[in-house]
Amino acid sequence: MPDNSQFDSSMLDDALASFTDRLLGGESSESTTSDSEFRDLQVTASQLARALKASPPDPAMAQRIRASLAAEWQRTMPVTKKTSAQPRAGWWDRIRGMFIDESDSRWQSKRSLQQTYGFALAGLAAILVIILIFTDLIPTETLPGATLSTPVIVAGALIVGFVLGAAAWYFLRRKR
Amino acid sequence: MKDILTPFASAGRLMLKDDLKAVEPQNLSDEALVQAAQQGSLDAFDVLYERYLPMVYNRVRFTVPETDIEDVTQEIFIGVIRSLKSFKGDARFSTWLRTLVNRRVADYYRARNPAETELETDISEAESVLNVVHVSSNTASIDDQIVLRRALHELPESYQDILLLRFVEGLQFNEIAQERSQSLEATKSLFRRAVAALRKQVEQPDA
Repeated sequence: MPDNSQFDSSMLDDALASFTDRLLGGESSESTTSDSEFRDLQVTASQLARALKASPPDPAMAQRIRASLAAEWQRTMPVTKKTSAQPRAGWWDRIRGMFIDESDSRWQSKRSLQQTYGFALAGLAAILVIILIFTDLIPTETLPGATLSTPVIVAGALIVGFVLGAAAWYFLRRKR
Repeated sequence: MKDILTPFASAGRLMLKDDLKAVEPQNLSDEALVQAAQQGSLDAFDVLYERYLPMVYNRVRFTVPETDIEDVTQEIFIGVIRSLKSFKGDARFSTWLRTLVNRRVADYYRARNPAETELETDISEAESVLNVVHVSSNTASIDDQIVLRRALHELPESYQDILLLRFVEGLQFNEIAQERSQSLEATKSLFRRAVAALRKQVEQPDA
């Protein structure tokens, strides 16, 4: 340790740093130098070590802050990240999703959507059967009840179409 | 504070939320935790909070009045949450966080009435010093500490910073040099000038 010689500034830097290291390491902070500038710096460093003693934060305070931060986290870091990270659904999955509910949380709205599409499918099937009959693509003579009148045939086709649509909807539901 | 490098961090790949389940978050480096927090992991942020609360708290404790320590500390961490996405990892997380602390403390004093601040500081400094001073300390040493803390507030930011890094955070001079991206010699020189400036401020408060 430098003693009663005159310090140049870099020596003074090193000497004060070493003194501070010893001071904070719990060694004696007694000054043995006769250099007045260095002695003054030593005294100030000793005062600083006493005045700036770190202490752990109060656990209750830490807990209060943590609760506020959790609330802030919910506001600031939205969960959209999760949904955007999911792979984009293919075309078949999207069509399938119209009929098959895979989400518990949105179950109610999905169900009504499935019913709508189920009925739409039934109607579509009925219309298709009627078109086929009236364009003679299906030889009506070969069908059972070929002697029946056109309104009866239409009503029958509607029933068949509805049954087919309902069956398709039920089949897709069961695959869930 | 030494970071523990994990396979994730050392492999240089992004830390995913699911990775946290495989490794104890407490063992992860700051950088890995920040990446996980940026992806939405509250657990990762919580570890960062635990790790840095003492540093932030003690810095705030020696720079704002006692009554506002909790609020300011909380606002700093709220600032961390809000700015987390913008942290690119160019600097260390600890350095970035200290910058946020200094900025928030500066805002605190800018937003306050100087007279009000002075009165509150006097009272709260006395309370704060009395809380930490040993029972055997005499009145003179308590006065000294109040004067010293007040003088500290008057110093330029770089001087305050290095004194807090060494005395409050307990960083060694080589760690401070790394933290401030400067040579060890420059760090020791800054430290000596900071101590000298503090002494001058104590002797001549109006200088």
